[in-house]
Order: sequence, then structure tokens, then C-alpha cells
Amino acid sequence: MAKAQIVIEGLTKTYQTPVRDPGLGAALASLIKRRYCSVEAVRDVSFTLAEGERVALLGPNGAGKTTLLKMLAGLLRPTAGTASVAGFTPWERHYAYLRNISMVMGNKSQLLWDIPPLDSFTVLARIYDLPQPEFQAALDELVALLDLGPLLNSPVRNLSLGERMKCELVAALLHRPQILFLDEPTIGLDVSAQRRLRAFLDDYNRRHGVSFILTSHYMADVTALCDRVILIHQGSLLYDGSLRTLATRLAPFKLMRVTLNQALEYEFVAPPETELVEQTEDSITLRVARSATSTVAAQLLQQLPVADLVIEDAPIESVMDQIYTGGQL
Amino acid sequence: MALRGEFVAYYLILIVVNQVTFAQTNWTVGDLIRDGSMNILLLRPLPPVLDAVATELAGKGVFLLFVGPVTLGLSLLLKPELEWTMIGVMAFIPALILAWLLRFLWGYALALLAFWAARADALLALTDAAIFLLAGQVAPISLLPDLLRTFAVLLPFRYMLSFPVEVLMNRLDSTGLVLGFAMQGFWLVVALFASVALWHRGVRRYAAVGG
Repeated sequence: MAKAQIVIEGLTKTYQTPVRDPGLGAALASLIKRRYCSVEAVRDVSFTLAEGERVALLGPNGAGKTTLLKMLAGLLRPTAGTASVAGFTPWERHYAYLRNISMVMGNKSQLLWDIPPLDSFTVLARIYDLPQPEFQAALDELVALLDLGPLLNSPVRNLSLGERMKCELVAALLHRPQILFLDEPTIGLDVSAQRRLRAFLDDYNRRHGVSFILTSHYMADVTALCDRVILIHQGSLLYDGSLRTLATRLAPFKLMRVTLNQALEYEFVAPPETELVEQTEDSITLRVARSATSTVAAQLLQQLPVADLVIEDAPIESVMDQIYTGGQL
Repeated sequence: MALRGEFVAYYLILIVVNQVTFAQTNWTVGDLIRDGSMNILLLRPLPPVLDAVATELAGKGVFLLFVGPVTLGLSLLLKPELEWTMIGVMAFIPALILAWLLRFLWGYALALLAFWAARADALLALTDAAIFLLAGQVAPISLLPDLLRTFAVLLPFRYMLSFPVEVLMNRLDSTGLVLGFAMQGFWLVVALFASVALWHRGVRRYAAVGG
């Protein structure tokens, strides 16, 4: 077991958000006396992360994932709790700490819009005091891994979203940080761009032992990159462990799809221990308790004009939906 | 005729000094804070104010490429009259640099109020109005009515724009020169302390939009 690189204990963040009623009168009144309401974005979250480990933070919009990442990146001060990342307290923002980390935000760019990425990279090399040979070596490696060559010299505004995201990653990794915070890095990318980005992150993590914490709403990112997931709901830690365990624990059922070779002439009634998910003219989808899978399958084969029958695990998306809407495990 | 030539010189120099001292980044710092782009700067191992300073310096270079020829063209056309003195030119350089620093830091401090209020840049508009009135734009300070002139001498705005122009044009006696630099220095220290204090408090408060 590698040694712990990130240790956080009881991390809590409460925002004070100004509130007012709509309308001009209320706007004027709020100039004199502002009302605030407290929003607990993160409540008492604790976990540790080893060097080189890859973890996904999961949770619905507004669960507190980004707030948690921002505290770890030193952008926010917690209301309570402690964190030690690579031996530093993030929100003290020691330059030595900032040189050790990087944060990629899917919806924020650190590249200058009107100039080619190569110019932005050169500026970053100066900001991080990278000696020329180190800068060149890091750049060459990243350019090769991400297949960037010709993009380096066009203004950023002329790049596609996928190309820009690759450049964002180069910008984030030039100074070879040991810890990477990825806040929805694949947001808005097409499926093949997502896949390439995942492959890159996977490869880069293996080569350099960089740890990362990722937030994403694309479960494909999570399944491809992180064995360990941390589930946050309404600011609290709900689960910390492997994705597989979570899925079996949460989805003690399988999906059974039956394709019919002729339309039913009577109303189909779902057997016991199953739930009808969808029915069309030539297909039926059922949610079946794991333990009843074989019995139900035999039953269906016997009763229905079956052309094809498929049994599969519940998609991870629907598992997540179940948690997000239910709010508990 | 001499008076006309002097006026022309005054306003031509004022145009150039205004371009040099105008701090355009102050208008964008508030946006960085409000829309969360400040995050990017806070993640880097250097003080975020340097981003504004770098943008200022780069912007100055580009603006002066345009303002220089235009001013030159105008001066050929309008024939300004200016008596140079060595001391005037030598005092002008520091007065100009201090004026830019003062205008920049004053605006930066106001822009940092965006940590607390959504539309802090209204105060920047107010500063521009004050500069128009009290920093020699609407008329040279010496031509202002007594009350306004007193305000102009005491408040910081003159030292952001008109003071270097007056220095270059030899409008000040030695007492005026020393007092002018003293006031400029005083307001610069005030603006510097305000910026530093607001920055440290603001960053602590910074709620990093989104998430």
C-alpha cells in the first residue's frame, strides 16, 4: 500500500448566499440590509487517498463535488475540518503546493483565446519556472500522447472543443504535477474524443504515478478510469469503495429483454419478483430480482413466443439515478 | 497666439498621458471575480495581480503604436507650443510612472470590491467621472473655480493624469512640484494599502462561483 497523499478529515463548507425577493423594492431593501441563507455544500467528509490512486467523485448536480475539489485545490476555505495534501494545507496556497497540483475544469479555460496554444504553454513554462529542456521534454511527450502536432500553432478560438480540451490537459500537465483534480474534463465532448481523453489519462497515470480525483457525469469515464468511487449526496459522503460493489449492492436485480416473434394477443402480466420496465409490440423489458433470474427466464421462454432473450446487469446510469433520486443506499 | 499653442500642447500631452495611465484591466478584474475565472489565476504559483500588470504593459505597447502617430500628426497640424526644461522632462518621467501606478492600484482596489458586491465597477465609472472633472480633462486645473480646484489638489484624481502634464509643461513652481509629488506619493500608499488589504480579505471570502 502506497503512503497516503491526501488525508481529509471532517471537511465542511457552508456558503453564505445572499437572498432576496424578486422586484425593485426588494432589490433596494437588500442594499440596506442583506439577508443571507446558509447552504451546507459539504458536510463532514473524510477520506484518504494513496499516491497514484485514481478516484471518482460521484453525485448529482449540486451534491458538493466541485466544492470539495475546490477546497482541495486551495480555491476555497472550508468552514470546518482539515486537509493535508502532499503535506500541505491546500487553502494556504503555498507556491510549492501549487507547483505540485493542477486542476482541469471542463467549463473554464486557462488558454488565452486569441493566440496559439504554444504561446500559452511558453508563458506557463515561465510561470512555473521550468527550465527549457524540461519544458521541451514535457511538451514533446504530451504532444505525442495527445496527437496534437498541427494544433499548436492555430489560435485557440479556431480549435474544436475536443482539441481545446487536449490543449487544456497539456497546459495542466506541463509542470508535471503529482496530483490532478479533474472537474468534468469530458463535458460536451463527442464519444470518441471522450474515449481518447480517457485513454490518455489512464496512460499518463501509469507512466508518472500521478494521482487524480475526477468528477464526471459520464459513467463511462468512471468505469474506465476509477476502481474506487466516492459518492457524495447533499454534501455528505454516502459511499467510499469499489464501483462494482456499489452496483451489486444497489442493483440487486438484472434486466431481462425479450424479443417476441409475434405480437401478444392478450395483456402481459409481469411474473412475481419482477417489474415491467417497458413493453412494445415486439418486445418486453423486465427488472428481475437476481435470485429469481433463472426461474423467470424459464417461465418466459415457456409462456411467450420468444425470438430472443437477453439478461444483463442494470446499466450503471440507472443505478446512479436510483441513488440520486432516493438519496440513500 | 501663444495661448492657443499652449492649449494645444496641453491637450496633446494630456491625450498621451491619459493613454499611458488608463488602467483598462480594472474593468475586467471584477468580471474575473464574479464569473469564477479568478480560479485559474489562483491556481498558479504567482500573485494574480501580475496578470493584470502584464496585460496593462502589453496593452500600453499596442495603444501607443496608434496614439503616437496620431498625436504626431495632430501636432504637425495644430502646432503646439511648449517650452521644454531639463528639470520638467526629468520630473515628468517619475510623475508619469507614479500616475499610472496610482490609477492602476486605485482602480484595482475598487475592482476588488467585486468580492463583496456584484456591480462594484459602478465605482470605476464614478472614478472616470471624477477624472474628467478634477484631473484636467474638462479644463486645466488652474482654470477651475476655487472650490473645484481645492478638491482637485486634495483628492487623488489629479495625480493620476493632470499632474504629469503640468510638470512637463512647467506650470508648477518648485513648491508646487514638491507638494504634487508628496500628494501623489501619499495617495499611492493609500491605494497600495487598500489593494493589499482588500485582496487578502477578499480571497478569504471568495466563494468561487459554481459547483
